[in-house]
Amino acid sequence: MAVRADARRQPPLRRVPARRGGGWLARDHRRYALLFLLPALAVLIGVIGVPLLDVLWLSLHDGRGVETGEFVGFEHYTELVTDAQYLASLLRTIVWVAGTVALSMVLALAVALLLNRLPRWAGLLGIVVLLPWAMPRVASGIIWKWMFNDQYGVVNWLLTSLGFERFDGFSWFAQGETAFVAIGTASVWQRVPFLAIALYGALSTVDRAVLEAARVDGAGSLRILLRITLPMIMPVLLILIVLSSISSFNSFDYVFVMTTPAGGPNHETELVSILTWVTGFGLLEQGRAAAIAVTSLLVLSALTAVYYRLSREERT
Amino acid sequence: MSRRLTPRRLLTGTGLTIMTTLLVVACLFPFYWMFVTSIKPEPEIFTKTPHLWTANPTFERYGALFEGDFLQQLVNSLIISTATVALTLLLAVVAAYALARLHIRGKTVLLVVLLSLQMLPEIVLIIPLYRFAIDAGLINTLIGVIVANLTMTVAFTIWLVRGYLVGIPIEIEEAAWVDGASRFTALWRIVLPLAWPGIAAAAVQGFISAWNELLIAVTFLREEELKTLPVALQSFFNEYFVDWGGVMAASTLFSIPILVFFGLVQRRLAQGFGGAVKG
Repeated sequence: MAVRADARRQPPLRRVPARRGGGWLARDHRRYALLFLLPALAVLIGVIGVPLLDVLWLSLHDGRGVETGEFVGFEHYTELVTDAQYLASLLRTIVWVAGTVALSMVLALAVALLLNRLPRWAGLLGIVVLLPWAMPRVASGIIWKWMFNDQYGVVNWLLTSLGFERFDGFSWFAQGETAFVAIGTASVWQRVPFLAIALYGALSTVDRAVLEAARVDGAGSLRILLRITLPMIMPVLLILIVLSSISSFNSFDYVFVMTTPAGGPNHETELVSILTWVTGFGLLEQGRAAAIAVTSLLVLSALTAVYYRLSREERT
Repeated sequence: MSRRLTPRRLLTGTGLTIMTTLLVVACLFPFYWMFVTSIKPEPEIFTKTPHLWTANPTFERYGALFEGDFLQQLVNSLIISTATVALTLLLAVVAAYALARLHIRGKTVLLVVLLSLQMLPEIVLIIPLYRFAIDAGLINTLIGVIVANLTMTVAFTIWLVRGYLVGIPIEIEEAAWVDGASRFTALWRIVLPLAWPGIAAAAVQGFISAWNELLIAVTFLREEELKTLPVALQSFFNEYFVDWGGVMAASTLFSIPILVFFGLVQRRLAQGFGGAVKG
């Protein structure tokens, strides 16, 4: 898209004498480029560029409360490397990303294949499937928190009536692992729709003649899926995996909404994003929080680089 | 294709039906449960065996919401979301035009940077944004949240609208230039009306992300009557006894505007996603 030759043929037919600086066309473009781009770029620099520099700057300072404080070099970073709480939250975040991305990709693929098998219903089903994506994150976190309620939740009732007696009054939010089951359910519920519809789009580009040929040659459904369909949609699949890893790594709302205090019980659901917020605004150690934010920035830059690599390969 | 009823076909047919039913229930049940909980009488909410329906619906909780700060918080959310979208469009549409039509040195780099900015989460920027807001006296103001919201809407909108503008044939514009229209007039009179669907889609997306925004609002807004709805919904959990009926009523009202927007754009969304992934 970026290489579209869009500037080649569009001389506004105005009589401007050709002079230095590339002639009237170049100058016309330069003038409007400045006029049109400058406001947006100025705002982006103001609300993103400068804050990025500030977070780097602050991470090298003591930074208690809103004071920048004295220069401490890389002290915050060297402390983080040995800080059990930070390392635990980083490990937790990695497991969270791997778990939610894997689960939501598998479910999304299943939904996409299902839609693909039901072409007559795909339109209506597609709308129903997209609905969870439309529910505000905060509302979805709250409703799932209610459904996972220990005494009155519909999840415990369902599990108990299916014969799993130990879920009678089971408190999902009393320990980290089970709290993540509830939080993960809410998050996956909301993220599958987008992925499923995107994968469905990819599936519909797979050439049916190829599938028919394989079937004629006696290949079974599973074999066709693994050997033909999946390889053909692999580029899209990989891009979606990277994109959802990024958004999963940034997850904040669900943990913040579903646990009280945020990241509880006993820090056991504290993802790096939550730790950043708690350190910066709960403990008011903003220098340290800035250092955590910078480490997240590094992770995200790496993921974004992978995304570019993949999407460039996809395009060529 | 033959439609003979073999056991195998029946099995896959039944399997498909069961899976489809499960899928539909999984997608819709939380919506239903949210609403039905909000209209149940208290004893039917706090019971071990859930009542799937209520014979005695009550809408009292909705009335009670509006006796508190809820209306003000709803208005706050509307102001912030609308203003965020308006400012974003003002900045982004002309920038998108420049990036779609004009020859600009370093354009590719700029586009890559803009795309990368979308990967940047609020949590990385929230500390400096908070510090700047304090310096500027914008803590506990709606304006502070609106400005900070631009971090997540502007780059995205530029990309979306640019993608749309690139698809509009340049010949239409050229015809206007021949008739003596300036670039600005052509943009305003010819290009924008044609790009309207793309701009509307970007506006809806911007509104939704501002409506959902939690992190900036929860950090910036500390007073009850300034809070937006996502922040206000947290207040229900500060009590020792959580009023689940009340929080479900509030969540329902909070979700309705987004669901209405979804209804308006769902057709475009379902089509657009496949293409959006490929950039």
